[in-house]
Amino acid sequence: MSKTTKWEPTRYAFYDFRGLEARFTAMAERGWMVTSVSAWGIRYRRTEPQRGRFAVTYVPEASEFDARPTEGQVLLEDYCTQAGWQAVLRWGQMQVFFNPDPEAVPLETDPVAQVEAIHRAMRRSALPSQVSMAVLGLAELGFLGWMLQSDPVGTLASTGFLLLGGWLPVALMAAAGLAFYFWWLPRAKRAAAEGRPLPGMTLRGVNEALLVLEAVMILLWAAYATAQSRLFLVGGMGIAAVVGLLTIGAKRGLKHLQAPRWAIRGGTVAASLLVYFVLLAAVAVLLLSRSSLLRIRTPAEEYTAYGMTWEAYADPIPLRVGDLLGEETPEAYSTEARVQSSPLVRETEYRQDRRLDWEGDLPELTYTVVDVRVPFLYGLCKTGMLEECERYQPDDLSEKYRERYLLQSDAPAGTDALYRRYTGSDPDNYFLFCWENRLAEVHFYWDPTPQQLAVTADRLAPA
Amino acid sequence: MAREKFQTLTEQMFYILLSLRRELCGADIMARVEDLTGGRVTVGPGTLYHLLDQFLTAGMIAETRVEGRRRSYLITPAGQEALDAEVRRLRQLTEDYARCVREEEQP
Repeated sequence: MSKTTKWEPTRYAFYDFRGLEARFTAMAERGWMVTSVSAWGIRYRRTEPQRGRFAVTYVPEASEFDARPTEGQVLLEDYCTQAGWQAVLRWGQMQVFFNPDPEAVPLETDPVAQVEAIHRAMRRSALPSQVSMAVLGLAELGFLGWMLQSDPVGTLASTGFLLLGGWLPVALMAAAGLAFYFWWLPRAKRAAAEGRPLPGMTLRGVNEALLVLEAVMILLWAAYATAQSRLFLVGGMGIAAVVGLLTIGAKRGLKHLQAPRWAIRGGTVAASLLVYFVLLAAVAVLLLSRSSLLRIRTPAEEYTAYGMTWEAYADPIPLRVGDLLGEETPEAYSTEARVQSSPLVRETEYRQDRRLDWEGDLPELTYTVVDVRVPFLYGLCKTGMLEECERYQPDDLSEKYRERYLLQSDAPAGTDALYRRYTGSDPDNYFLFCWENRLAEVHFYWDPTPQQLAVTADRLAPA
Repeated sequence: MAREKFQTLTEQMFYILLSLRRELCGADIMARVEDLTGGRVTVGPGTLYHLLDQFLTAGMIAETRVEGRRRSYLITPAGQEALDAEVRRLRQLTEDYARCVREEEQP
């Protein structure tokens, strides 16, 4: 059975009347009559193929929170009906008409009045929402920039980076819409003043490219995210969908009750906030009551020491205490490898910790291996790792206590460089090994010999 | 340069104001403008709606009667002044044109 309805995402700016008219006309000729438009999508129903012309116009006084058409909308529809134009749909201030006669007198015959109506409609609704979206998107990007500056490796290796970066297309879409509108407006006014038709202003290509970019970022995120992150994203999207559906339901319900505009607007906002906080509280209660949902990974063993329960892991790690000191007691240790990875950076944190139920003093080892997958980010990651120890030191801290990494002249064979951390002039047992696309920061719990540094470099070198 | 609002009138503005020197309802204005101009100027329903709305806001026309959905309008002194100013401007244009042509034709 062939489909009787069709939906497509909205790729047109609110004020892109020409793009919308062309799209509706082309679809009608293929047997699809537009039935509704929203910020998310355009809906069509199957009809006989129809030739004719569409007109998109704007009634500045109208609002999507109106329970019934305004006097102005009714008046406009009356004039249009008498001129042979059939009302097709209303969406807030936008009204769409169809005339089966391709030679009919156009709906808009004075570009000066037309550009004035578009601008008044834009000022009342679309501009404030686009400005809010652009500001919100830019704030998210600013936060991302701050995270990149304060912890470049952690940020670039995290899939949260891709999620936050997902704001980039949203912010760009809103900013491009605004920039394009304010570029178009003076040109349109000039054209109208000279009696020429208004210039085109379609952003369809840009919007399509940004939608593709958004899809790519989500797919990349899905490919690299941990199962737990995916669960949280799906949960988050579920909450957003429920909030969205209930908000739409509340708005429709209030419209059905013929409530005034202010009540529908206020009721819709209140309903969305209420649903959002109720769902958030429900998720918080669920997570608190089932703490296993928050556990990132399952340990190899749980044991008790000092009256508390501890977790032990048995992950394979590339460098062990025994490789450096010649001997170790494997059962005395918990070895753990935690990976976070994105298409840009892979960061693996390795730990070989003494179990707390094991008596005696044993050497431990922790190290972080960073693989930079995009060469131009190598410098940013290296600087971030070298400067991390300096970042939170107060400006007035005495030189004696100031920590910094210094380049060593005796880098092990095969490495590009070796840095060692110092407090004042005293060496610490933190080292940063550098290769072409890999960085490894190692914390020895003893003062390593040059031979141990060479073994470390050999074990952690890229394949 | 974009024109100041109603400092100069487009043809549509001019003929809508001119047709409202006598009381007319909205839809009849479209037919009246076509009559006045012998079909040279047509006013689309969207333009009619926008201009009536803008003229009302600017006080250039007034609503005189509402019978159901039928609304009738009449030009106000402010609207008449805008119409007169436009006529003076157009007259000035034609006078300037005539003087210029005369000067060029003189030996």
